[in-house]
Amino acid sequence: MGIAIFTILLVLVVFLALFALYLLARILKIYARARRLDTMRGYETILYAALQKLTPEKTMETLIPDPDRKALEEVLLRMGDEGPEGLKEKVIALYGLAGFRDMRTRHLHSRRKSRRSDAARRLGRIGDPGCVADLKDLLADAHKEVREAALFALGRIGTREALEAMLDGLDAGGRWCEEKVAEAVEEAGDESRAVLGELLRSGDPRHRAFAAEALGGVGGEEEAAWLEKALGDEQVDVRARAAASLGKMARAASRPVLAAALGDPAWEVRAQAAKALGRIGAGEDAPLLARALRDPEWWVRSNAAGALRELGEKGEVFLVETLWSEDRFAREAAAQALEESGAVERMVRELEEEEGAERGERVIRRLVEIGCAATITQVVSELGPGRLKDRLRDLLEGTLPPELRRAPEDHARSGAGEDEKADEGACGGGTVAGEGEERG
Amino acid sequence: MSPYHLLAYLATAYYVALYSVHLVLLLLGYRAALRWKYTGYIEEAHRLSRSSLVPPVTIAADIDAMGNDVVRWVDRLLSQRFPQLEVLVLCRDPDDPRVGLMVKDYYLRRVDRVFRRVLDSPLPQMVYQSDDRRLTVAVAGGTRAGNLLNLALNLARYPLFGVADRCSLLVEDALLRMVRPLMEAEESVPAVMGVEVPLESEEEGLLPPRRITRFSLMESLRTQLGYMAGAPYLGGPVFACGSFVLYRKEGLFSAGGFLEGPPVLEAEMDMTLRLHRLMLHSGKRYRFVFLPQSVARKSFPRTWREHVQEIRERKRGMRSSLAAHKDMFMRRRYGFLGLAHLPLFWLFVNLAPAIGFASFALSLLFVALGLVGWPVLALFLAAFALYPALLGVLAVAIARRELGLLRGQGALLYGYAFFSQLWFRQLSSLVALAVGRRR
Repeated sequence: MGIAIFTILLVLVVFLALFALYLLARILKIYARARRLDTMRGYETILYAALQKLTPEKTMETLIPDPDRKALEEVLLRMGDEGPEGLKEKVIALYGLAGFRDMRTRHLHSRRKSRRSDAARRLGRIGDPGCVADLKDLLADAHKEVREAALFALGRIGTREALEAMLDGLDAGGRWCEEKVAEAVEEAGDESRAVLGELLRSGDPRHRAFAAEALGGVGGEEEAAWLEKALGDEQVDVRARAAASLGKMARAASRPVLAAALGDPAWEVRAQAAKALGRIGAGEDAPLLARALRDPEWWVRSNAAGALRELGEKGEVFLVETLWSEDRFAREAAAQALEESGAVERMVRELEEEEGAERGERVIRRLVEIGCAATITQVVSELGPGRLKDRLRDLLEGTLPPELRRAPEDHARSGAGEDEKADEGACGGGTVAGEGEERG
Repeated sequence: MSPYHLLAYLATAYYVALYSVHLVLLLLGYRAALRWKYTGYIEEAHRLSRSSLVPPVTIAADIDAMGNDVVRWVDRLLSQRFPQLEVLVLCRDPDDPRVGLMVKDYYLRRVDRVFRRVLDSPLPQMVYQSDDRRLTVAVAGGTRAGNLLNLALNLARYPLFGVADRCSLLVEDALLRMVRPLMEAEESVPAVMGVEVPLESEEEGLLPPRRITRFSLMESLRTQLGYMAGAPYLGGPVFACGSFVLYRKEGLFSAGGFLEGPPVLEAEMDMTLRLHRLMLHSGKRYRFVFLPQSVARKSFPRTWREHVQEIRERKRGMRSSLAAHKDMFMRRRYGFLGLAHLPLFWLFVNLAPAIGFASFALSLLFVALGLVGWPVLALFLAAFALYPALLGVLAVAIARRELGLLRGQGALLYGYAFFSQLWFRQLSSLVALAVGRRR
């Protein structure tokens, strides 16, 4: 019993002693951190003031001859992050003079991956272009953290050489690497245009595809011409990305090449071309897009419907026309586009007016006939009793199947009726593309 | 050595082995947390929000899993910083007043949505859509949860598909952090999850007000950091389910979609094993990703009844999913998952309540009858309760240090972590046993 009590007390004492040690360590740590912050604040004040007037060498010699190295490096890194106007080169020089650059470059070859990645990140934060060659080697490192740090650093340096080094790593890095390069390109500004132009002519299809995509964010007349040329590239991915980028640029001058791309053998290119024409928004392209509604590939048809919606009134004419198409998918996609654009809602309300009422009547009848009455049902249910509601009911009387006749009155409870219709393949809420696809 | 001693030592060895596996996984989880930190996950998030290269995401949620205020839930989700996002709300009842509420608040228009029916799913009776197409409400009456998810998959426009469940709210920039593993090319990533914290502690980083929620959180942190974060590095996890999981739509299609009948949790459990199977058959290098960072806030149990209910659902899901994929057990074709994860899961998770109860009762009985001495019982108790309690403390320490969760709670937090493993977990195991028997 005595031994048991002794053991328990011993455990308790050991526990309390460990706890006291832990508290002591924490207090010391907080004290040390406060001291360092104080030192850093001092260095920061000195450096910001001195570097405006003195050379980095003079600053080191006279003002901080014997610095707290950790604090000084941290201050320089923060200055590198902030990139103060006109001081960037001086900060880089000071980092080298204090010996940090040599030390971190040595660490890039360390056996410890954490040391390698840490060194790369620090060099990136300073943004010293002289480190690009060393950092480039790290892009082939076996560890992801290190490669990631090297990408980060090269992106921060952002010179042409750094960008080229990053592009060499594109092959292994996937979408994430493309993202990092795109960020660096964006930050590099004008310099990146020339690099991307060269890249678009590169022998590597991945490089060409990346450049085709990145140029969309850069814009410009010359770049648009390069992209138009890229629509004739042998690789599908390059052509599709070039079409998408031309859509982002939305230049009317690119319309003819995009219209030609609607006849591309690869559906990816046709889909992107349709989308791009929608973004450009020229009504003259509506007939072409209406034809693309009957494309054999789902994405092309879907994008063509979306593009026609974007074209406004001119697109609407063709969407309405497509409601009488024999291709089931084409007419349902057109119906969806008309509903989404608010055109159906407008036509229902126009029934009250003399002008346009006849066309509206015709379209509404057709929409009900092909089983796309969702928006009509919603609009009618929201209408109060009156002439328009009566007229609409009269209009739908002959065309609606019996189970849907009550729908205008209580569309919220139309679930059962529509369910039956849904089973037939053309439901009120969603339309399945399967049949349309086969026909297309 | 008498047979009684042998039995008592066997029980101790069982628990030592169980918690040692946990310790290894916890250390792997800790390593993962450090790794994500080194790769600069948090600071990169804001850059991604402006990128055009980020793959767009569709998030699907059952209206019943969105809490009481559906409009606020949708608002919170739509206000996530993300380049392209679509929210799909699924409803089973055409007369549900919450649908009307959303139609009114978001000016939704009823449309005849054309979609590709890749998976076998019911057709929607009604589809409402916002003008910017970021919010869609689909009503499919009388459909079960798994079917609804398949319908959402068919309706989804984007290549990534997130499933939100259990009233979860995403934390700031969660989507941007979760999408990154799916952009990296090192290995194929079928699904991404992250740490879940209680909704109740949303306003401050404090512990939730109710005791049962606190204990439940401690237990959850141990499971999340001590299993989910580490298991992917060893070919796991057996089940990747949670309040928010992000999948590749293509992967879900190839796996044949979600199981039609069961609730979301069970459908997700089954999907994990199907995705494992798919990846292993294709011979690709793959890894499920569990981000050791908080990504979602979900409703944790507030009463014992809710806690028991949660255990029951989880047990049911595990049992049916493991039974459905029993052909993966001990098969070389399924690698480390089939040879180690699944058998260990059976032994240490499925059978743990029964073995725990039997070993505890027998150890006490042996000591009471004088068949074994008290040091044997002390050893057993140390393995049974003290070891997991220390593991719980370690998990919470990691959560505080690396995840920045619950900072400033000090000794109280560690107290909860310690005691939740000392009695809460044991009692929960017993409850699980009772639940299993009643079924």
